[in-house]
Amino acid sequence: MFRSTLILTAGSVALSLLAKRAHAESANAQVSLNQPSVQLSGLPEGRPTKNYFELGLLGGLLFPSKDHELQDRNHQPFDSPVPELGMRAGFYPLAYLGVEAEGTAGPTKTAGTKTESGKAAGLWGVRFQAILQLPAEHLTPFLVLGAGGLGAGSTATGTDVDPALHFGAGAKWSLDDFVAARLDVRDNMSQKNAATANTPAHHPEVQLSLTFTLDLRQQPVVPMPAPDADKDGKEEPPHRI
Amino acid sequence: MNGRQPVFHVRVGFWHGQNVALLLASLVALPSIATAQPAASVMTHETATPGSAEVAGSTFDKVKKPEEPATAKDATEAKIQAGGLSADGNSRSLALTSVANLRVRRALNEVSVAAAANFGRSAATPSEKMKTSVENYQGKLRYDRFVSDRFALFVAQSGRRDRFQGLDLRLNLDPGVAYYLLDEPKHQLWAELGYDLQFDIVRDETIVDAFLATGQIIDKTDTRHSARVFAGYRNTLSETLAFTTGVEYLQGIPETKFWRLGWDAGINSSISTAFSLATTFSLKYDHQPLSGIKSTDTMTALNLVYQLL
Repeated sequence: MFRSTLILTAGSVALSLLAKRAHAESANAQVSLNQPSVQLSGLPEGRPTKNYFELGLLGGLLFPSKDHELQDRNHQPFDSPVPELGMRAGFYPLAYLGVEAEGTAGPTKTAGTKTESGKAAGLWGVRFQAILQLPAEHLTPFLVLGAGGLGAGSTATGTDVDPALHFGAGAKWSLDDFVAARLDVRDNMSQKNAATANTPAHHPEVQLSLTFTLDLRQQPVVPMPAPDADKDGKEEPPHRI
Repeated sequence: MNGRQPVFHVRVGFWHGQNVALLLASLVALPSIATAQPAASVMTHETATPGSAEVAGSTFDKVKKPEEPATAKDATEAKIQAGGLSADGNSRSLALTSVANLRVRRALNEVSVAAAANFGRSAATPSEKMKTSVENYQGKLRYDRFVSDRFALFVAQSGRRDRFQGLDLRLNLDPGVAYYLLDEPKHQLWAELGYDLQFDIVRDETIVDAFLATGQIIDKTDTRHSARVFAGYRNTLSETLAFTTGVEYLQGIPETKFWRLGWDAGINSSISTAFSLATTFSLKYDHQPLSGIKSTDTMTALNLVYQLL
């Protein structure tokens, strides 16, 4: 429990630091799909920087805890890792901040016993998360923090869905303005079996995905306005910035 | 952002399973409609030379057709459809359907998304309680990467939750290649070849029903591998009439007893700049469905389409 609290606290602090920078950079930003993006330094010309969508096709590996409580009848561990597939949709009101929803599912087996082989089983998850990122020309590191449900089913264990929290980090590698490869490394936490309430069982997860940036606005990305610190209507020389 | 033309549609209409008469009538009428249109140039024949022996006689070379820029086919299209049917009195039924589509093309990349929900309740007699008779939710995401004018690599993923097919979830992963045999503004004919991974999570009620019927306990989950072949055709017969159809065949590997066939067809005819009428038909056949589940499902829909932009 202490470990989880420590990890969550560290994650929250990191997220708040990122959010502070995001807020400073985007103080005048308004959520309007038809508002043009402003070109940010360090990003290729034309890449949207706010109010854009991302869609993703993902595959991954989930390492379910042996102490999960994802059962309706009998407790049995699931074979690990579980290969999973899924889809993700996100909206980024700011270049640094987005919200995402995703669904995943994958086949596995119950661990079985000495006398009986494992039964076919499935694990699935639905997650909602906030993502904070540092966009750059190619590599965009990010942090995610979210909540959702983790479910499992087999004829041996029955079907059950538990609420779950997750956090993690990752990076996107832009292949062009439209397509990026994305790596997520996370920890999912759900109720631990035969333990007091709110004691988490940990289910680490690694995801690899293709991410597509959808800018649905009519107006193109416009160049960043020239710096004019003294408000005299003239661009400042570079050495004064 | 030049060339991006967002289009939003709202469809209002009704659907009715098993009723294909309207669509068949439309299909029968299609040839006569088609012949009223100027004949499209499907196959062009070009001679090796223009037939003149003069080579150096021309003062200027013919003006070359400018190459099509990579962004010429850029597009942003979004459609939202919603429909319903309600009947009360001697026959009681309620049906709701909704579909949303999004297609975004940027240079050599294309992403398409579709989501659908269908729900229906009905009672056989006025005295009986209404029972749910249709309930399914579907979603699909597909990415195409065009490596040439006619050749594309794609990967698609879809999910389906269908109470009456006994599915909590059916997840399909479909990577493959697509080849456009015809890719003209008014004609598109393409074929796809690829692999299909299907992962099913079966409803607990279906497992119980199967056990009561056969005494066997079916697994909660099932995974199948198949080869996938698809052929699609789209014809914009005129500015107001478009026809689309597609046939999909999935052959189980290595267990060949598993195979599925799907066919979709649709006609979209504009009534005005804002409204159009869409008639669609969908057939899905599964040679080895879950225990107690019928092998064939069909759905016919007549939709009023409203184009917002």
